[in-house]
Amino acid sequence: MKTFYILKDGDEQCVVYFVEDTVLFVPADTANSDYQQYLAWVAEGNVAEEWDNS
Amino acid sequence: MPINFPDSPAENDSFTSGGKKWIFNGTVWTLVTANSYTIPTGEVTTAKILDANVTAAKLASGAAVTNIGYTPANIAGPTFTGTVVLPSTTSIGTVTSTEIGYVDGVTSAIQTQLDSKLTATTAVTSNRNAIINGEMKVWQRGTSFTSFNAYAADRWYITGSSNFTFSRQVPGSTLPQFAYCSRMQRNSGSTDVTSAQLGYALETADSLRFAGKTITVSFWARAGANYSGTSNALYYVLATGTGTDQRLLGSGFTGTAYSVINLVTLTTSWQRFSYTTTVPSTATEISHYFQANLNAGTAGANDYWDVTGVQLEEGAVATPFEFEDYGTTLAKCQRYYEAGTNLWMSAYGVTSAILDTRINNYVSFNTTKRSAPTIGLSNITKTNEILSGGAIWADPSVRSSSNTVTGFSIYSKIGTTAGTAHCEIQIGNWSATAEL
Repeated sequence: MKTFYILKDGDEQCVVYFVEDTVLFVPADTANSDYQQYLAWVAEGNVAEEWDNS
Repeated sequence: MPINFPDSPAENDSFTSGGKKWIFNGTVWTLVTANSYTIPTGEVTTAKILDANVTAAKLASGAAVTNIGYTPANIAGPTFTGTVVLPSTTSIGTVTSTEIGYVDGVTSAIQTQLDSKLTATTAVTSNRNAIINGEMKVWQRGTSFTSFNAYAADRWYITGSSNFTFSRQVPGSTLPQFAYCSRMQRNSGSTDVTSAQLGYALETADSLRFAGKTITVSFWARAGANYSGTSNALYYVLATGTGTDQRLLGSGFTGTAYSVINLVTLTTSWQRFSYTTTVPSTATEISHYFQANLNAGTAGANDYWDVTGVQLEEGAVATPFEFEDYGTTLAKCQRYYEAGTNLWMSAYGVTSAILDTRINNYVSFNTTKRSAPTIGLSNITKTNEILSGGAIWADPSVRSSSNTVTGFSIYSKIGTTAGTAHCEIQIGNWSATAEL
């Protein structure tokens, strides 16, 4: 199971998760299978922490 | 009234006078009457018919021929019995669909010719095969995998464990038409008896055309010398669903209906298998997969199964595999996945005194994606040369609002600490995934 994070940039935010040394940016598109997983993950009661990439 | 018969008549000559007819039998003139004359046995010869004395006008409709015990063919609607021999060159006009149906079950030279014409016709019809990369020749993610529950060969999803290896192989001289095949191998010495799977899911837009239709799936497969699948068998499973753009393996369908669950018996030689089934009229998605039939024991050095040449097409016949040039298949695959290397961003002498200072780069995809894709960035190298103060550039990110089916934008922001810095960022690898 993936663990998702939120990257905030001003008014925008992006869902992020990691696989080994790769950072993956998930668009807020319900046709995107990763975003579907994120929504299901949230529906299970999970809350995405904020990711600070600075 | 006297009757003047012709002089010197020949046998079978006829003479008509006063509404009566006589025939010279070689000796005397014999009167012929419609009601009373009985033709002696053997009297009507071909010669007598051909001398034009017997014409169509003289025959009473139907009765004249049926009375002699011979029923001629009804040319307007013949019924053939026995063997019908047609001329070697036969011309047939426009036929109706009903008439074409008469060909069913016919075994003849005509059928052979029809089959060859059918093959020739379908061989030049493009886009029969709904499977992208059925030839297993596009491998953008790599050519050997030990991590499972992910896409591997383009468009192909694998499940299994680290006790398996999925890789690209060469089919060899016994199947020379194909450059590559896929191989699912249980690692030598493994006692893992779970079965790895190799699956493919069509997106809904490509599945709808098969709703309510007969389809045929065909593929080539073989086994390694130590294949441990029970009875040397490999499962082939095809299922449909009623959802939208779902993947059967790893996530599942809505309203799953299994159309095919069958075992094929593998040998170490390539064999082509095919299955024909009917897709439910309500189906909106199609997926199929291969799976070893219960691996058993300890794996030997060649405990594997190979697959290539996978084709899914409309109709009840497995037509010849529809080959495709590499570029076309790659472009189709890139609707779902695309990758690149060495994206650069750089800034020199920029100060953080300017709020929200950024450096950007934009990547335009080769192929429009199925949906806005997930963007992966890896092997990132950031050189941050501080000239004054404590200005630091952040790691690159993808701008969510700019991530679309046609491309994406990456950026890096300078930190909040005042100063001036040179910065150079290299993104060694990027990927865009819009798979199901």
